[in-house]
Amino acid sequence: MSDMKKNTSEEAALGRLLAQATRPTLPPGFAERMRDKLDHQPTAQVIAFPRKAAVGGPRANPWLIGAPLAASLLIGISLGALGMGNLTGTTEISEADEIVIGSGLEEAEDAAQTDT
Amino acid sequence: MVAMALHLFSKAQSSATDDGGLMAALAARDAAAFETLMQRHYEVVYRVVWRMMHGHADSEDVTQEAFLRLWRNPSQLREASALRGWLIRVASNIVADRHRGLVPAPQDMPEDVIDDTPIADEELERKRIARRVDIAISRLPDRQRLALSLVQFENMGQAAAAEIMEISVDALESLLARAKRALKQDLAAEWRDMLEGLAE
Repeated sequence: MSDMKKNTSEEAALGRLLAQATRPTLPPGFAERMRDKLDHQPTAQVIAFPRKAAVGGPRANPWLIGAPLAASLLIGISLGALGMGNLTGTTEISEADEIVIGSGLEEAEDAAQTDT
Repeated sequence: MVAMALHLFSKAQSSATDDGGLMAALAARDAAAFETLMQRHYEVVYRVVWRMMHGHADSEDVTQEAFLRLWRNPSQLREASALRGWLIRVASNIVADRHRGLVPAPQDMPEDVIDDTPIADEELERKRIARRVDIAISRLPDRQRLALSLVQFENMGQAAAAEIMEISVDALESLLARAKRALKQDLAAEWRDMLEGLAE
């Protein structure tokens, strides 16, 4: 018998044996038990968080905020145009000191010399 | 005109009673829709779980848990047409989780398989074969048993079974081939006797 024929007959034989396997049946009263479990399910609790009031609120009139800002901008521009922008009183520009950034190398060399 | 109206009416009715319509109702916490879905799919899910759990008494508990998950959150399911597969997948995952904790011995067969009432020899022989085949199936690894259950016992197509198991059809075929090989090996000693017993 060829391998193919043997496999086919074995497959058929296995099929016959598997057909004998127990076919489970639903246990009586399953639907009632399912309903009972469903009845005891906790209902979803939705907790509503209090909504935070938005800054400026949707009812706030945007012109009340915008108008002073616009006016301030206009005053700044006009003062600048009139040369009255510098309110510190001095017009001299003082020279900045030379900035010395210490690397620490010199201090390290000094320390090494004192040690010796 | 009347025929068209009737057609539209029946179409509307069937869409309300198909899984999609029932899932929509379930999303609105419709217990009647859940009941209908349960009547429609419970038995198949139970049978698969029963095989996965070697007929353990917890099979019902696991099946119910799968349905309760559907009730609690129906939106988990994206496609209503895949409901049965989804339920089987959820249930088999629950079984796998339980098996990680405690693997029932393959010999632990359900009480309803062991029946002591006096019966005819032929019937007795069939019961003996059924029990032996059940034990051989229960000895298979979980994935092989699930593949066999879906294709062999639930008559699902390979594509549908592969989708439920979230594997390729090739992988499913491989699982089935290994399962059948293992069954043949397990039953090899009694193979001829059992087949003769069935022929009588």
